[in-house]
Amino acid sequence: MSREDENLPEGSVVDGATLEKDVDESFDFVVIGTGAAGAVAAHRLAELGCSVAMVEEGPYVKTRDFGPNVLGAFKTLMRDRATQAIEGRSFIPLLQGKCVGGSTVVNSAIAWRIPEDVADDWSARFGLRNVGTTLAPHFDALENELGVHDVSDESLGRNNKELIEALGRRGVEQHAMRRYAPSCEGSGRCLQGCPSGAKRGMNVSYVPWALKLGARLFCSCRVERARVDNGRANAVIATSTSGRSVVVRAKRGVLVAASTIQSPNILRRSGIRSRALGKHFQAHPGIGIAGVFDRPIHMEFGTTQGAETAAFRASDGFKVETISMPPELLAARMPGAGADLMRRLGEYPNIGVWGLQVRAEAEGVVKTGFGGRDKVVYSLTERDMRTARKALQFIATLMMEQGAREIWPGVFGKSPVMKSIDEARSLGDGPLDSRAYGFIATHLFGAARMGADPRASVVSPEFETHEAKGLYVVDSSVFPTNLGVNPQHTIMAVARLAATRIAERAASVQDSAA
Amino acid sequence: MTLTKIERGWARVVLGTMFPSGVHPRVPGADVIDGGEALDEVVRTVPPRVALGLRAALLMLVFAPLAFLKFRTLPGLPPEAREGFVLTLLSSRIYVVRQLTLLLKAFGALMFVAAPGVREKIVGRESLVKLGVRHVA
Repeated sequence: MSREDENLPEGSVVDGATLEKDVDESFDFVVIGTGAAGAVAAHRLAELGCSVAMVEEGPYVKTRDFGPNVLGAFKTLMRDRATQAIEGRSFIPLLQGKCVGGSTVVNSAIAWRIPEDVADDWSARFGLRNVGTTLAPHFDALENELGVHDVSDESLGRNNKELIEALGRRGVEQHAMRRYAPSCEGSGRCLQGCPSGAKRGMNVSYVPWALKLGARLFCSCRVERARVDNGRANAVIATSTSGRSVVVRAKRGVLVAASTIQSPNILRRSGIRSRALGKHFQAHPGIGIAGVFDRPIHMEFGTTQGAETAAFRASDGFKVETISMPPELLAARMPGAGADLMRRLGEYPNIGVWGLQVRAEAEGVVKTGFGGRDKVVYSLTERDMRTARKALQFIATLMMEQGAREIWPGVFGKSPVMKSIDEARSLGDGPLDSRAYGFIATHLFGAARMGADPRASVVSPEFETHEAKGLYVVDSSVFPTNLGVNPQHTIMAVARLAATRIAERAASVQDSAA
Repeated sequence: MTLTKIERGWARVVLGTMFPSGVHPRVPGADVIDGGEALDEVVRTVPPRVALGLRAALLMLVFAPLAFLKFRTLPGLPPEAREGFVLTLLSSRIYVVRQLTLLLKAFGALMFVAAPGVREKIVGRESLVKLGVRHVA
């Protein structure tokens, strides 16, 4: 397979790690962030004839440098070495990519269009009309450009097949996932960076495609703020890892796409004072359950996440999916320590992991903490906990029905090792305290909400902040609510829509001026 | 932030207790790495509050036996007596205690599986090659 991240146009990438002199350059648009939103927006703007710069805090790690070790991936690809945590009733680990491509480098590239009920809700409660039909052509374009496919039988792997079989036996709708990985080899390394480049993360798709259209990338450059003069954004002020000043001027606008956690704080540092800023943060907290089978599962082979059901999304508020874990992550998740832990780790080839994600109703706040660090305060509601408990019980019993010899639910106050279906059922009356569970947060929404009312939202339906002209937010920060399904596809479609509108508007202003 | 020489020694003992060698033929223990140096490298590079948490976890585990009137630190106990204290802290009713212990356990797992050859042994490299996986190494 050709590697899109090699042989980039000469001079198209400015590496802030080795930058030896200050930078001051000018473009039509500057995009902050190169994840699902930023990369797509930058590419779209370039495609529509605009000059574009992308500014990314993390490094450009090439496919050839992706290794199998999670510790290495945490070090080079993740924010704070993957040690971020949501604070609230419990600590919930928060995983975010910090590299060119953002979290798309370390996620499973799952493609879900925005569910109809969510689009209707956004229309009814937030005045965002025709969301589904407006986004449809953008979904089409993305699926065409990235080659969205169902996971093939050859690359599915046993962990995924076991879930499909188990759900099928129960008569529950299930399927192989649709992903942006048309030539997936089943390396089982989505979380560490795809070693073959088959997964179409932004690092091997829209970022290099934008560069080939003339865009410029400033990586390893941390954005301090967007500069706003006389109510209009006109530049991005950043500092390279090597300590150099990086000023990237924007003649037409600045697009913030730095993620739900970072975008609100960049807006704050840029002088945005909206009362809605940082509020309405939402997530999909997830939990995994491991089970030991008497037959080989080999999670190291097969798509990391390849099977799912959304049958309970609308009725019960949760989604079930596979998550094949490498041994080091599984070891941390296994019960106990010492000899028993090592014996369990020895059973790795026979272990499978399935997980749940809750469409949580809880809302949190994104703040700037001590020393300027990003801080998220968020606690699950009792209703969310009941949903999680029900989902956990469902997966646990499903795993036992599928022939697991034992399961490890990881619920404090319950047996750490369960060997019967009755024990699995007992998870249904587990504690309603989030501190008893090992949640993890990966899908993040809100905190710079979109809406027509400036008192209740940060950006307008045209993606422009209510307070500063030419300052746009185009990532999932603007989502009024969470989705209940994996969000990357919707984030990309929204970013593509935003970039299209912003470019068209800029062109019409230019035409009028002419 | 860095670990002192004595803390690095404690880290070797604690990680060796959490991940002992010789239990399963396919799973090497934490002694395949220098746990002290590896944890020191992590502590130097993670955000300060995480480094503080790791250090607190280490100290908590080392001095846990004193809380049970053993009048010894964890390294001062015979190897077969250490595991029980780690398990006690991992299942403590106090949330912060079990979370800090889990933090150290999680980094311990990340560190020792990253050592050359360990992953291949655990996942069973030969069977993966038979399955046609190209990117095992």
